[in-house]
Amino acid sequence: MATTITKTIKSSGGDYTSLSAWEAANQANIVTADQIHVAECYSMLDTAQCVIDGWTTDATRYIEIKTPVSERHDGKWNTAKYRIAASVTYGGVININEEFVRVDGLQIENSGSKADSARAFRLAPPSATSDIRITNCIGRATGTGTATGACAFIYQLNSCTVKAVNNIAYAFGTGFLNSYISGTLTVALYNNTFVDMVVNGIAMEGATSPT
Amino acid sequence: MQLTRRTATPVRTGDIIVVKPDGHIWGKEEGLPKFVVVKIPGATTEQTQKYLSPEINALALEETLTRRLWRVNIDMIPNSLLKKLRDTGTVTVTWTQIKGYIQNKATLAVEV
Repeated sequence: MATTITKTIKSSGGDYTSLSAWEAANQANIVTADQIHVAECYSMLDTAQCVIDGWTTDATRYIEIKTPVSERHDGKWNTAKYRIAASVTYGGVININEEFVRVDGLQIENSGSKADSARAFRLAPPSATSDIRITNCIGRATGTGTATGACAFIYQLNSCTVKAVNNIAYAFGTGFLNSYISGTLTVALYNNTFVDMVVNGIAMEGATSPT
Repeated sequence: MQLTRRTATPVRTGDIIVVKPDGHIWGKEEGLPKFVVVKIPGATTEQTQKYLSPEINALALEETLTRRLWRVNIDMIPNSLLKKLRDTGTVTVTWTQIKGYIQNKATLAVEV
């Protein structure tokens, strides 16, 4: 059974003061190590984009980024709880480039130009054999400009399996968008609320065989 | 079409991971052996934020080439400064002292 390695992200007294530093420090082949890596995010403002890349994961040795329930938003944007906010264009505040990643209970704000594809999440795992889960998150786009369709709460590139459940997103161009898909993908969207999306709520583009 | 790469964007030696204001209290694992801290009193986060930008393919904006466009080129750093970083994990320098070692990966030009 895999060993769970938990690190804390806190403004003081924790292992790291940003999700980005946690990710950079812990990149590893966690399949060989037989580990699950968990980042626990506590109430603070995290201002650095986080790119998840450089790991080897599988279905039972995965990456999990979450807030403990006590540190989690209460269903609306809450500046007293953990939130990650950055200005990113043509990408996400959280970019997921690995196959088995779970994100639970975060608040994500992108203040980059909405006309230049500002996103909360950008998913681009290298293979379709994947399981990316985004649950209980709140996202908002606060940048200037008119949002295009590619300005999305979740923007999925490449074929992969995505499950998005119980999320709320505000003011992007699209709530969920996939694009540049070349093969099979599986998308499961349950109980997501997309508010003030100026282009689409959900858009499936270029998918050859979505299920 | 698969736009992304597999190996281009993990962290590389010299990448600037985060920029924090003066006086920031780092986490327990935000030091040696994984990280070093370069303190530049007076430099603003606005001034240094650009070093967190990725290198993007100008012909395909969705394609990230490397995680950071800029790096601190440790091969250019004087041995005395490098030794202090390796020994203590932190140095305090002026912007003038450090900017010549901050290099654009695409153009290889250093900051002026």
